[in-house]
Amino acid sequence: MLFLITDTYAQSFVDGTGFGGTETGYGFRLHSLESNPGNFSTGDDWEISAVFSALFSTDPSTSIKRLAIGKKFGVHSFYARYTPGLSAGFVLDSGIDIVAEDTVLLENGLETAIEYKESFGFGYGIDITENAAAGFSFRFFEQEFIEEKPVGVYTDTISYIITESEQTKEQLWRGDLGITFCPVDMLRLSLFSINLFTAGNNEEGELQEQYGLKYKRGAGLGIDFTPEEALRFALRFETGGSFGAGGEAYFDAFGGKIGGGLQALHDKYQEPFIAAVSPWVRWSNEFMSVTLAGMVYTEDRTGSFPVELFRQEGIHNIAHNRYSSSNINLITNLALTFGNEKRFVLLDVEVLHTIYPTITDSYIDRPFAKGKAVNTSDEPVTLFPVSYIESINEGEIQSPSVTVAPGDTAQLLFYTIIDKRGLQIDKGIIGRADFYVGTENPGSDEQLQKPVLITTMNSWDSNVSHLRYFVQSGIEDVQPIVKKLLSQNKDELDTLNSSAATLRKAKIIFEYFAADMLYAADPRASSEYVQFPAQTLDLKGGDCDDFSVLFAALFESIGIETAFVDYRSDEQVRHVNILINTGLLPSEAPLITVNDRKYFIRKDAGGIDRVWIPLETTLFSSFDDAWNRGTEIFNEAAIDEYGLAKGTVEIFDIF
Amino acid sequence: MKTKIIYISILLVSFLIFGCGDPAPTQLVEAGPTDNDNQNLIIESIPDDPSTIDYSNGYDSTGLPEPVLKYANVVNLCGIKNTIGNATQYKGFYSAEFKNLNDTILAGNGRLLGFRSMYYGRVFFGGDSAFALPRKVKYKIGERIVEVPAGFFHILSLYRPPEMKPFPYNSAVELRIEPLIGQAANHTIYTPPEITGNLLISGSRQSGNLKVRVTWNPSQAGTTEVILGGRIRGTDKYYPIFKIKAPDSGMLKIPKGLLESFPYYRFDKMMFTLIRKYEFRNQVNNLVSNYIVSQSIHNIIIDIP
Repeated sequence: MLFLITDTYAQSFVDGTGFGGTETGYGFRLHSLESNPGNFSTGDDWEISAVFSALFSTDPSTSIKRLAIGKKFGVHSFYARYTPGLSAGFVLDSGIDIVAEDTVLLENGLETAIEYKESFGFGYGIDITENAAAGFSFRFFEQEFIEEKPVGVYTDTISYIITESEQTKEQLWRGDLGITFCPVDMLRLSLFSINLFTAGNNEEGELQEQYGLKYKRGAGLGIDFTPEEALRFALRFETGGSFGAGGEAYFDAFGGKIGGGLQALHDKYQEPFIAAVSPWVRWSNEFMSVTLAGMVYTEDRTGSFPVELFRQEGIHNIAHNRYSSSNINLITNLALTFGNEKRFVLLDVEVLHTIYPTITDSYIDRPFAKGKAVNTSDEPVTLFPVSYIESINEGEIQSPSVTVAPGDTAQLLFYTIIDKRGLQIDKGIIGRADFYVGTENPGSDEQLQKPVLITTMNSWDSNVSHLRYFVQSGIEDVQPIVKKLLSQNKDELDTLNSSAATLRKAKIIFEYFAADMLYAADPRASSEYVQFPAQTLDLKGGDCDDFSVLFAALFESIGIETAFVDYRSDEQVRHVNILINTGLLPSEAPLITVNDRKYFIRKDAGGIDRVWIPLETTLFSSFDDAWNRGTEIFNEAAIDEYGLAKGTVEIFDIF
Repeated sequence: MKTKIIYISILLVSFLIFGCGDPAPTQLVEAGPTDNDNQNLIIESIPDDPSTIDYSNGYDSTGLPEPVLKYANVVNLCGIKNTIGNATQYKGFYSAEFKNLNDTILAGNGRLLGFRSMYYGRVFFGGDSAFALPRKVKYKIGERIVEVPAGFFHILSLYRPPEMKPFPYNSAVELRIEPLIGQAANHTIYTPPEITGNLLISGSRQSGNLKVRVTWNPSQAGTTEVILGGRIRGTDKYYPIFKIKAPDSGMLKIPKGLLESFPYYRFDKMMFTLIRKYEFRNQVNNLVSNYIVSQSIHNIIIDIP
């Protein structure tokens, strides 16, 4: 839905284009200089604006009212305009006739012609903060007086009176300041001066004094209220008492936004109380807007006007005064974002997975969300997907870029890295994931926001390979305890050769910690719940995954390589236990057993074949019992039932 | 980008094609009585051809511009004030002449100078008999002034001792004509309120910013004529240069252009003549082609500023 800001200023700040405004919600310029002396701009880059006007008066006419160009460099906004159609002409009948010999009319009604023009103007604005901007503008005016006057011609033989024209021209500058402030999104306030600076080659003369442009100083206040995205109300007040009020609404249509508004204007120098109403309709898309805006004066303004009032009041605003006629304006704006042109559209983003904060590295190579973007330009575009999840990311996470051919749609994969804060989430939350997609050109980002479910730190996605994250996170907690335990058995361990030491250490550790343990099922049904090793030690209870994690952490804390064995032969009941790397070479296996079904040859982290033994972590009576039971389970599921070959049994290394 | 360029091109071409007009200027007119000094003025250049006419009575005495060729019978009631500095001289007269439009006075080159007038009978103004005096028309042939007899005219001067009758402003004068043949005729001629002018002068001719504002006591009765002339250097003759007819509103600003182009080199004094007049063209008995005028004239003579 598009939302427009309109030029609702009355009198001095009405530019005569029907107040259709120039902002389209796509980042076009906010106002003309009349109503925006602070040059506040929401544009991104270049902008071209043109206003074509048709005037309905006694003598209808058309003209190019305004050609303008704007450019924004970061926080700096520049604007310049040429206004060939911003003029007002008046002809005053001087009431002087020239006759000859009492009756012969030579010249009827000598005239004085006055023309006011605003030739060009420029403005500068700067964004002071994210919600405040200030700036200034200068406008250049010319006023020309052409006075027909009687001049006598006298010779020795004849005398007569002729008419001569005397032309005087005056040029002047007007400068003003403005500040715009947005305390909240739905409210925008603006404060601006009226004729704060005036300077020019003021020539002394009766005509200039009597009919010169008036530049009474004042100030104005603007209030824009946006209760909804597609609805806006605007009020403008001037210290002179003039004001304007209006509203507008827009909706999506025809590949852009379409809508319109209406505004009423009260001007202290015009009659009646509501001197004019200004309706407008507009269609726009991201780089173009076309507006048809009218200015309908509520009193008949055809024919001639009494000069007395003109002489008393003068002209304060070239474009909008008591002599202005109803008109209609075609306003076009083109946003030329050459540097930051929007060359793609982010169609949608889908969150694929719940975020398990403990499984920290899981989303490094597994996208948690995927999006679709289409290249709307006529050149290949490289897109850079970026995401940020407030609760678990320290900063924005950039995912691999994708180059998209013109007109093609591409899939964007979003990966993420969970920081340590994830290990402190003890309650599941629905977090906010921000997705940005940009190109090489800054400022051309597209953005979407999606909800994402973030579980507690103990939640597990039932993928046994991911249990290693619980192990890795818990090693530090159990390591001092294990080392202390082993030091207590130092004498015994010192007598063993290195080949037998690993198995002996494992036995000491297992039997020490298993002694007090009790099997208990998961406390939650909705998702797997996995305890960290320290939690299991503290609770002295858990299920198979809890104990597998615990003993894997205990062993790994002193360098005993372990692996999880995931048994999925029974679809209803899954089981997990561990394998321990004894550190023995296959030829050394007889040192621990002669039963070749109690061990398995498997490569260690260095790629060397070692002797591994299965250990059932839920059998606490003794290490040997656990070994035996583990051997039974493993042989049955993995060997006898070809589980390893069929994939119903998988082994996952901790590191 | 290509699409944008196409849009831009179409728009610019369209604007250039259709956006070429200028709005017509707004006409501003006087809607009624105004304090504007220079509204509804008629400016007339007064023929200044000394080879034809010597303004012996047209400017500083009778206020009646010569020649009044269109009418056979001319009756003129004239109250005059001449102000020089702080001094004001009062004059006044009633006059009448009866011309035969078939009896032309021609210059040597055949140009019409006027018509001979005749003695029609006795003429009374306000019961007083006017004098019948011979009338002459002067014209120049080269540098030589030629006087041509032009018949008679009737005149009764005021402000002359011992009576010192003042001109009856804002009143009426009874005209009675007793022709040589036929019935006597009476006619009432109304006179205008007295006009008293004043000049507001600022700036100077040398500085190019001379401004002259003429004010007078307004009567809102019609029009007032302001004649600007001067005294020819080294003589006592006054010549009119132009005449401005303005509403009898009491104020007139002499147009700047007229002041700038005034032939100052000819004159050593400037004269502003204010005239308020009533004009009648009534038929009086069997007299037709009548021009009857009563007027108040105030001549203000100043040094050239």
